[in-house]
Amino acid sequence: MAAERPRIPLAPALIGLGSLVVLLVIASVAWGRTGRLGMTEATRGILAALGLVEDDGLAAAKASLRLWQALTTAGVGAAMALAGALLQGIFRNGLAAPSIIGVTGGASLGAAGAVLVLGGYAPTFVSSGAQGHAHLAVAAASFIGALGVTALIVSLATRAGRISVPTLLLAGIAVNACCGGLLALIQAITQQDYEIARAIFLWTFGSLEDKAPVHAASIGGALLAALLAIPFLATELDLFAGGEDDARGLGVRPERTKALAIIVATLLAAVSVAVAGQIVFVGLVVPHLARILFGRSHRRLLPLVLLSGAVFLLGAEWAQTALLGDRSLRPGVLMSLIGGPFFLSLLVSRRGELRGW
Amino acid sequence: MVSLLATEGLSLGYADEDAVVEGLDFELRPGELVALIGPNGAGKSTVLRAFSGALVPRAGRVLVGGEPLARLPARERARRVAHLPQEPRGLGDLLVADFVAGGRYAHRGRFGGDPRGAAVCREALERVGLSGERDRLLFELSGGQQQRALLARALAQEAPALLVDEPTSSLDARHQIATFALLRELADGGRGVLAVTHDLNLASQFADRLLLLEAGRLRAQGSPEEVLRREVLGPIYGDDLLIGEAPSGAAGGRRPWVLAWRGRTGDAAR
Amino acid sequence: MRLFVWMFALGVTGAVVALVLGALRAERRPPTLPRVEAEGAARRVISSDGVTLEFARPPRLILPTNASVVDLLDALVGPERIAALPEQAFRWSRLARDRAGYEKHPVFAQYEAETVLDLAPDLVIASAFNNPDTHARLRERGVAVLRLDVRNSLDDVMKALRMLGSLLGVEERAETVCAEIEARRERLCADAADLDGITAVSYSNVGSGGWSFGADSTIDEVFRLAGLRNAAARGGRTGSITMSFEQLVDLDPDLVVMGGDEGQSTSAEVLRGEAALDGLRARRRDAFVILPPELASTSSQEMLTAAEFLVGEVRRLREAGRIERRPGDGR
Repeated sequence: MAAERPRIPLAPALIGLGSLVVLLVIASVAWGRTGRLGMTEATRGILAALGLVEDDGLAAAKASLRLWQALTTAGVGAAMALAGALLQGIFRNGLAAPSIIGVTGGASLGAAGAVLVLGGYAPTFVSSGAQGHAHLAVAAASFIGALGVTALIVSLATRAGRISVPTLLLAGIAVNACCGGLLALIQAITQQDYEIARAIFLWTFGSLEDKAPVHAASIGGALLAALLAIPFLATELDLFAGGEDDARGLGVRPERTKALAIIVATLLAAVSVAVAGQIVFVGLVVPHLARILFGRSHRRLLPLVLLSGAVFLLGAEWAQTALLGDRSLRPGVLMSLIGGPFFLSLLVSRRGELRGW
Repeated sequence: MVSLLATEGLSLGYADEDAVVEGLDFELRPGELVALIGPNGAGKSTVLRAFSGALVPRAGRVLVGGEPLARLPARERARRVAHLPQEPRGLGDLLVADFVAGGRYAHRGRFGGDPRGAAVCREALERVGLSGERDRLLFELSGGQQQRALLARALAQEAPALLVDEPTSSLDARHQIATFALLRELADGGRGVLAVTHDLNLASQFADRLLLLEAGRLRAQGSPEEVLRREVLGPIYGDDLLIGEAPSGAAGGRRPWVLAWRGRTGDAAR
Repeated sequence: MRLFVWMFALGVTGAVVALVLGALRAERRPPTLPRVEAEGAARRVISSDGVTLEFARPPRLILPTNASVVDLLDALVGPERIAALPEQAFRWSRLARDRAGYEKHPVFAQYEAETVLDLAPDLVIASAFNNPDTHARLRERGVAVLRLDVRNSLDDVMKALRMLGSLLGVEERAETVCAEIEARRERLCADAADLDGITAVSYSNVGSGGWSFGADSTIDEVFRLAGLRNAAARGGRTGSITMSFEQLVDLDPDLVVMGGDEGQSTSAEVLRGEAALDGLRARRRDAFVILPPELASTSSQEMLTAAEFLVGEVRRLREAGRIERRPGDGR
């Protein structure tokens, strides 16, 4: 992979992406499925949604719906992208992404399992903000599922203390297939129960519409935790580029760095899945583009990837809402359409490297 | 004087496999350049890995500055022992300055405080003659420059003990000599340097002591004159070796000089 | 490391077993029909998902989210009280045949809060298939959402019609509709009396495996209304089930019922093109019935229309000698 000298300095990049996120949120509020709201209406609606002014008019109601949806979308994009960047850093390979090595599959399985085991009646349980505890329980199960899958594939791919990336990717394929099979099994068992079938369908293709403050808050919380972990990870991941032994020689504790990065990435992916279902490839595409634009140093990359992910998913969703309106695709479908060819082109461009596998 | 690095009855191995190194006793003191030599697969690199805690000994122990390695925090160990890998694998797309700054990791506080860092890095780059290349990407440098960048990072680490893994394997003759001259200079400045190398003549010219490892066991150690003898090397490298004296004017004086005599192809392959 | 892998494999196996047991244990809840309490003009109704809705007077403008509810509302209140139509209504409800009166209605492709807010209905009637997030967002913003779960039987459809009649203040109309349904059912019953003993299987296959419906499904109810026996319900199979060629040959029904447009059906093409099905009586005699889409998957009073259609088709097939009563069958 051709390395690029960082083209855009940190501060302007942070400010630029940050304002882009804000602009896109405003644009998403102003321009939604049922047409446009004026700037004053949109602003007033946002203030009303935040409880700053009283307004129960139609425009305010729409604005608040769009606001929470936009914030959830931005959060999910940021979380998936950051999870991807962390996994790629720790495995020192740009092909490692939550959806490819099976982390999102594990998270979906965990979430689906929670609904079943809790005797659950999925929708009220999983998605509605009314029952916050249930929402957290499903998020926790999804985290455990994702962590379990990650632990499994990492242990399968580790030999003599070194991680083999080909094994990692192949194990990811196998684990993904297993998760898919188990999800199908759950679906087959529960197909009479439309509620569970429906919830599993949501996870499979993702759903970002009609989100509540609790969804935005869940993903925001996960992102906050990740932000707090960045100072303990960024420099270490940079030093990881030369391999674990090299990093160890410089004073890094690779086991701790690996564990922290994997736990944070898994948390991000799991909460994303619990909130919005499987939206694949964001974690692959965004870190890749961000590295080209901003260079590879994780101290710069991690915060910028977070913002880029928000811009990417929010921008894509906003664009398809503006263009397709009522006929918008499920977000997971849209991301597959973008990410699938991207993944293939990555593989093709690295054919030389792959030949050695 | 307390040794910088020492091993006592050290045995090492990977997972379920046979031991790679067995019963190694060795010591590295300040001011000396020690060359670790031996045929391929002798366990030389494995020994280096043990010094960074990457391998937990099966038996025996590693001492760093007199203290057991196992009890040292990672950063403290990195402040005492620096590693120089063979090549900057995977690090090619870093700026030289950023790469060298990596050596300061063990000196930085959790929130980045390292008041001397910038000065130390600048000095390290100057020392290896790369001051002008700070803002280039590592992979844009020549092989010899990359080697020196690695050395600069190790210098930035300010560790009294320096471990070097085959520093000359990808260098031309001129750079091979320059690299060893620099290692010699560092040792003369008070550091202890342990260098793994296949080049017996460079080892002979620049090292104070040679350690000869074969099949995980220490076969000989001592001055070049003591180790580079037909009786010692013959059983290990084959008896088609010619051993003489270095030509006059060589850096280390008229020390032993080893040539492989390729007349007998059958043995040369050993 | 190896130990860890084994422990993990054990854990996964355990989790799978727990999942399967949990799924089997979590028996299907029968759908609960909403209950209405009327007091003067005030209405109080408990939605199928447990939420209580209160109205000072019967809600006027209603938004149906799926085709079957469109059928129910069409019969009860007609176009003027329907706020908008889901797109699928034009394929899966009575409106597929005749959209008179609905030409000017707004149409929406997705049930989603913003769209609904724009249409400003007094009441949304949704199903278990709809996104519960959307119910929650709408209720937060003061839009009444009633989830209406109907069991797959005509009796339950009538209960739903009466419930809606009471909720929407059209009790008398509901009674009239139900009386019409009862009359049609009796007529059909008399009409189909001589068909008893004829076996049928519903079948769908677009090239990726065959599916059918066992007991406790709308097609099962349609068969029952038409006096046919659902062979796929043999052995206690319920709901949506897979149906291999082998199973189909084994059941060997007199009649295979498939969905399709204007008499064209992919499933029928699959059955006609499969050499292994030579032994299938219905194929040898070409005893296939193609139900139009709005009759193939309805869970409204249109089940009755589907049954009437089936009886007509079966009668035609029998007159053409393509269905014969076998000895020992029926009475």
